Amino acid sequence: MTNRRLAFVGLGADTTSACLSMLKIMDGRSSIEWTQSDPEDADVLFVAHDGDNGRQQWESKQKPCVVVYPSSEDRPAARYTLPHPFRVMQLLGVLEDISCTLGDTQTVTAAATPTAVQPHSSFGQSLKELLQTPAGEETLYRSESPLGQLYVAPSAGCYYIEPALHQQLRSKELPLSALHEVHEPLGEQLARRPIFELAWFTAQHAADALAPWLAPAGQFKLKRWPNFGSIKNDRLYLSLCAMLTRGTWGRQQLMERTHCNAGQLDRFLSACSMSNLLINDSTAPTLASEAPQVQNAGRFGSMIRGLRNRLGLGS
Amino acid sequence: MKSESPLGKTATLLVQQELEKFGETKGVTSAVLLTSDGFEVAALKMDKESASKLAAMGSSLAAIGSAIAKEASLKECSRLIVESEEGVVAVMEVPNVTPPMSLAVVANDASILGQLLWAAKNCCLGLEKKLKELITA
Amino acid sequence: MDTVASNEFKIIFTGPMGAGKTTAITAISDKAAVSTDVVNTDQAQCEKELTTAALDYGQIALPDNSCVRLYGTPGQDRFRFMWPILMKNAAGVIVLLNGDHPELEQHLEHFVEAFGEGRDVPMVIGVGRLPENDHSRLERLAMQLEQRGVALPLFDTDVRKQDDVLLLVDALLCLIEANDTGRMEA
Repeated sequence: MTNRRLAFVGLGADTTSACLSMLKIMDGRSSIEWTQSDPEDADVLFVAHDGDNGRQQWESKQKPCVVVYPSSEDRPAARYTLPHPFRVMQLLGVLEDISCTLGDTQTVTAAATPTAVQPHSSFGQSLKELLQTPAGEETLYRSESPLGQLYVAPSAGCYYIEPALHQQLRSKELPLSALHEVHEPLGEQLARRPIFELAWFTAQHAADALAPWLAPAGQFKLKRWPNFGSIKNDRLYLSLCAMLTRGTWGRQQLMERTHCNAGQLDRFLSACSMSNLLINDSTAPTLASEAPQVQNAGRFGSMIRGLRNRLGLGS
Repeated sequence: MKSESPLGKTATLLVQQELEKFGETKGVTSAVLLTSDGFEVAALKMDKESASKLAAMGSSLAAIGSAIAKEASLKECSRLIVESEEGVVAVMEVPNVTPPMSLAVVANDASILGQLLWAAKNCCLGLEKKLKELITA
Repeated sequence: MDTVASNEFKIIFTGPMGAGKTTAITAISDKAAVSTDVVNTDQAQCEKELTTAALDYGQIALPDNSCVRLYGTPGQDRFRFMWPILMKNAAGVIVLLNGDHPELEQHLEHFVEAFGEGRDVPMVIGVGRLPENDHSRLERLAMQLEQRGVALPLFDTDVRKQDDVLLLVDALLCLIEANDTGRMEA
């Protein structure tokens, strides 16, 4: 286990504490142990975007600096940056990049279990990363499988696929390679489908139901409803979307309210996360099962049940 | 939004004359001739904005009146009256015209209901005659 | 907020002229819906024979003698005075849009804003006449909503298909439930 030190310069207490608690979560998943130190002794510095003086002072000392900037602003011109608020995976990503330059190797214990997903190699992870970083209007990414290939256009929120391969994708797991940028024209036979659908099929067949970058004990919220495409006719997912767009919930609460099992919930959360719809706050406390169970007990409870029965919408 | 009247210039002028004649009735404060889908055709003593609004509301009322009449197995709703202490609003159908139209009239408390409705009915018949003559001419 | 009778459950269908509000209500109403259709003289805006001048009304009777009321609003702005009248005590709103219309984006803005962005009264959006196998238009509308800071369900909907209309109703019921239970805990 390698020990590395990091320090914070000019950052707010909330940012610092979020960062430290995320590092705790990562503890054990990384072969490097990160501890906080004085800026003088640190291997890596986290500096505030607006604190220009501090930034220049430390940059001149040849230490890697991660510039933390508000996500509402443009990415600053620096080698390592982190938009605030950030997620565990983003922090892990930047530390990983830095540790490579520091000469560390094997940052993530990829071989811990046979099913562990290796960052940058799994299709789902590459899809998630692509959708989180805004790409150019025309940028196109390709993934291959023995049965054919598909293209993802992140900025358009869609993917392109041959109808035959689409059928396969719906019914079984395809060994899809990680997405990589290509510059080639799209074939005429390709159907244009919403990106959520691709994330959905991928999550259905993934070995681990919950994507490895999501914090299971964290709180979840949806940025917007997914474009379901061909998978829209399931009450459970409508309910989950309704709850997650109107509030922030822990996994336990979601399972209690919607009466779903962990696998169903986790696959749904993974698909939402892959398509960049999910906000996963790993630092917020989970209020699991403190709230009383009041499923359907509101003003309209019996009315809604009656209407569903009457319309043949099941219970 | 449409701005031009569904009638030609000549027709609009004739319609206007008919409305002005009706305007002499005691207590009448304003009136608008409207298409059944809520556009004003001609207005009396009203600015453009109020006329548009009364036309839209008048057509909604007329449509609700027809729906209720149908529900009650009545053949049609020829007239709807809104009464208050301070006055009256009445919406009535102009028979046999294309596109279908109604007349909405507003009167104050100086009006006498029977007289007002009588005059309004005559106005509608006058409008029917004028508009028919135009088509056959 | 107004007090609501315990057996009052009202769903509003709204959207621009020609989006299929009357058709959608007819698709799920028990009996023939009551409509206030009149001859449409505004062929420039929409080429159809009839248009709604006041409201559409349908109902679904429930076994406990209560009933769900379905109201359709007129779409044109000149009938806007009808909207708050019909919205009074509504449990939810379904906005229907014509995906084929050149002013689709403006229609989305207009109706989402006019009916409260789903904040107090839950809202679901159904978009019809979208090109098959191309979800880009729906995606664009979703992004438009996200920029507005509202998260509302958006479906491609053929109002002539009962299942499509039922999906909108089901999603709306999920939102009403989420709202309802959330409110009880607050």
